[in-house]
Amino acid sequence: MSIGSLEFEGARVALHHGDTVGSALHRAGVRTLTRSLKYHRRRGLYCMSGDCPNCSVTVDGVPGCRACMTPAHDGQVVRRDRGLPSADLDLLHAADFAHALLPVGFYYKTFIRPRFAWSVAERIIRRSTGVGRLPVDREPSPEPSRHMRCDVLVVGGGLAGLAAARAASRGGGRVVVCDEGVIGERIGQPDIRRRLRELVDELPDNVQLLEHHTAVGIYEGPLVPLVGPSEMVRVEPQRVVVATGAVETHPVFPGNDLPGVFLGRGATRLAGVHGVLPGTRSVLVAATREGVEQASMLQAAGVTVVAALVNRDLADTVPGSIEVLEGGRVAAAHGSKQIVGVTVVAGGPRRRLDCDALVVSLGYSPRDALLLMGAGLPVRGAGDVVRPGCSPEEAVLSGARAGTDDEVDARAPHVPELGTAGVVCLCEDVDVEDLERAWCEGWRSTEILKRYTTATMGPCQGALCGRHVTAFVSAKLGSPSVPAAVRTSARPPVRPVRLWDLAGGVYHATDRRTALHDRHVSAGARMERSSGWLRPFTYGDAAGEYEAVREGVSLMDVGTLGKFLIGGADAVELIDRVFACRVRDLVPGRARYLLALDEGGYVIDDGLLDALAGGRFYVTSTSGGADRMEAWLRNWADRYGLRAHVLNHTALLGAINVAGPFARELLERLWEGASGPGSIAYPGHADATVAGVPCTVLSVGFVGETSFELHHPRSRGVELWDALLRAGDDLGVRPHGLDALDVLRVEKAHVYIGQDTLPDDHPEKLGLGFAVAMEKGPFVGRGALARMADLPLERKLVGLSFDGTPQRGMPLRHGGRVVGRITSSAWSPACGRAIGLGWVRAVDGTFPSSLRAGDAAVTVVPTPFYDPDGARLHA
Amino acid sequence: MPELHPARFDVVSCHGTHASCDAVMRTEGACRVAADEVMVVDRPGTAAGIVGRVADVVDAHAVVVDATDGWSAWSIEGEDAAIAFSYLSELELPPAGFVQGDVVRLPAKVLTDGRRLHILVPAMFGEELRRRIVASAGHLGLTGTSA
Repeated sequence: MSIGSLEFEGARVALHHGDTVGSALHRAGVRTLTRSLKYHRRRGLYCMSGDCPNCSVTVDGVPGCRACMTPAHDGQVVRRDRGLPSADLDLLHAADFAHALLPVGFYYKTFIRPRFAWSVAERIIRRSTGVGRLPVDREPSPEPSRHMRCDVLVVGGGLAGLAAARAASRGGGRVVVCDEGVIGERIGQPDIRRRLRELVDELPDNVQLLEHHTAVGIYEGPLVPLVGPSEMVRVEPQRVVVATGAVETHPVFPGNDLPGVFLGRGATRLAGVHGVLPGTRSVLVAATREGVEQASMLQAAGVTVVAALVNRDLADTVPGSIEVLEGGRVAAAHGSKQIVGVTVVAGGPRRRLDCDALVVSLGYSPRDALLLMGAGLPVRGAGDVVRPGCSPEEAVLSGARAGTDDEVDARAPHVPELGTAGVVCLCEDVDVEDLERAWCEGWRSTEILKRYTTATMGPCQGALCGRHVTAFVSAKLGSPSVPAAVRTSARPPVRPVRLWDLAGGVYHATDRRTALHDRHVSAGARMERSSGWLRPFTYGDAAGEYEAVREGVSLMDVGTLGKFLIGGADAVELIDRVFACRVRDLVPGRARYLLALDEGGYVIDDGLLDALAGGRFYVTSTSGGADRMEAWLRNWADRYGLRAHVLNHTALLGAINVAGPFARELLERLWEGASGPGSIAYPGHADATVAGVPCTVLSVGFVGETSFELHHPRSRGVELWDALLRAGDDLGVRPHGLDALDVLRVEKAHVYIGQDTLPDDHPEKLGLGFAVAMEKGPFVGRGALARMADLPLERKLVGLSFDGTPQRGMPLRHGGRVVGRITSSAWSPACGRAIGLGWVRAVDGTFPSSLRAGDAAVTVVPTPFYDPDGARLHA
Repeated sequence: MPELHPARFDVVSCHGTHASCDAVMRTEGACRVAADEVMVVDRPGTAAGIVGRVADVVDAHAVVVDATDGWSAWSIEGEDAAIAFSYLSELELPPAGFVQGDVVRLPAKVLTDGRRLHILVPAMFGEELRRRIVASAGHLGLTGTSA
């Protein structure tokens, strides 16, 4: 009974209960589900277990979905990805008739001359191949990702897996069983399906089932990521049991990839589980007892099995109504749109048998990729994955042993036979002839044969063909044990994974916010990321903001600065040893500009050092450098074995800079206590209460005007900000953002560490030699500075005056040679021209003073550009 | 269904010798965040008293500060709080107590009593924490409003 329909390329396809997309389409007569990668050969349902790429379609806009594994539901939209103009009528199939022109590895040898040929060919190759188109027009929506711990994770909910879970659960530990579908739903044999459901019902409470959760890899830990229908689960078990079973061996003969050729379990799954006949007339090839049993199942479903090609010892087990071709093999399958017949060889002359399905069950290839990834980790296999082709009883026994962490006796898997022709790697369209050709060209090990032919490198990751490549090399070398014939490494993912499954729990940007964030937003600020913070760049009038600082009074939120309290018995020792400035003569209340250098003497950060009472210090660093400064200070405290405590107060404290000629007046209005801001030395600090808020007030000069930074408890920031704006209303107080700050500080030639500096800039190159006290004792970087002292400067940061408005980053040229780069530039209202900073390299021992940046003339000038004597700062 | 709420705590940070920190660990709400650092987390309005008590038991060079303003907290309450947390972090929650580490890729301290868990991050990450919790576990009903 139909339970709805899906839309398939404009047509409605009826759905039955339990359908997958693949079973529904097959019932509707759709045989070609995709086209192969290179030759655009028709491909249809084959394994019905998600192991091969033959039924890869786009479902609801998501490419690369295995139709055989994707549950169908009403309203689904399914389309085929490949084919020009369509998968049914594909003009690119012409490539299948041009093998001689497209041999294996042809793209390594062709389109080399003329040089543009490859760029053209590459575009054509990329367009004509591929495995679906990404839904670039859809908003990515990463699935949730969660973490889980357990004692035992069992991957695979078959007989072996469930037996392992039951055995593992007896100790009382937490056991998780995951399966990529619903347990038992894809098993064709009713008795085994029933037994599985019974086992599930008997599982104790400490076993958790995760159906529709696919294990895609095993990592160190072990860590096993499971991809679920709407989540990624990262499981960290104590140990893992891999019971992923086996897939039937992929047969290789001419025409082996035609729609209508099925692996045995796939055909019985289609018939037994979904009630869809793989064909009406089938030929069966069986080398296993299970394969022969499949003949009966197909007959019971209504398939006419016209012949069975079996080994002598299985001949008696074939149902009497079926012609037995003892010792027979398939020489070729025939058909264009789907299989219409096979040529068989069975002791006599070749025979052609008409059929619309060929069911092949030659043996078992364990799905052991997870097991291989788990080498060296507490991972055991159970069931078919270590004993391929084992009976149900053997599966249960091996599962029980693996569940209790006992060794399971392994059995060698079936070694596939390649024959002389046929497709080996279904994903990459690599056939036997390709392997032979590569071998003849000298690619003579599994690893390099894989790389050259790309066999095993497709979406199925060698699940079907990995052993074939190994068998091919073994046969050529005459031994399976030589290193060149070992299997290639197994790597995640073992099943295709959507990119948004991997994106769960990934965050691209971290937005730090100051306590004043909402105030900036409500004031109309343009908020942008800077040094990991969301900061106001302008409140809409950068020129006006600049003017407020230069002519009136302005506020800036500088809560982003790194802020540290350094204490402990050895605090002075630590500060003295790590910073380049003089420390021991710094009295409480005074401050000093500091440079942090690495061992090479190169500048890594700058800031202000304030001496506090009791041998403690307050240190500020750049906004983006706080984390690094904390780590750097702690690191040196540890390395020197000093009893010093580094407290990062960046989050604890807010800071507001009050700057401008009227800054002092504004603060005096809100100052509580006898002394006012005028009593603070420059540079220096004092504790004060401003507008009722306890503050440490720092006298600073970054913008070149009288400035006070009010460092205060973060929770009082809004209160303080509002009070300052209210009190300064008649003074024209207004906030300024980073745009205005950039002009203000360039006028003073103050550097931005990171923007104006390079990783190998020592203080002299930056004109910051004044901040280095070589005469004091050792400090970090001192030795390197001493060694470099006698070397002439080959590069230095200079002030630049522009005849034009060149941009930051532009190269500086002298006599046609690039000798430097602009690191900062701004239009200076104070100077009436464009100015900037940049580094310049020495030419023949001297630094050029006349340069060019694009069309602009550039002159090296002394700095600072504004108030060079510092009169305004000290006013 | 778990619920997400903004939370408030007083936090006192103590940096001292190992012995001092051992002594501070006897304070209610004390969490050992490093060999030489203890963080005391308690209800609002208690910080001043804690600073006083802690200062009495630490060495002369120890640094004890009211760090309340430096932290932002969100609480997840309800029977499924631990399940919700599994979407946020790989940290293993104890039945009750304190862990620290990566929560939604932010540096965090986590306090739990079984039915409730409180996630503390440096104050500048407060809104980012809420946004990421909602992004990672919103499907469980965790919505939360701005603090």
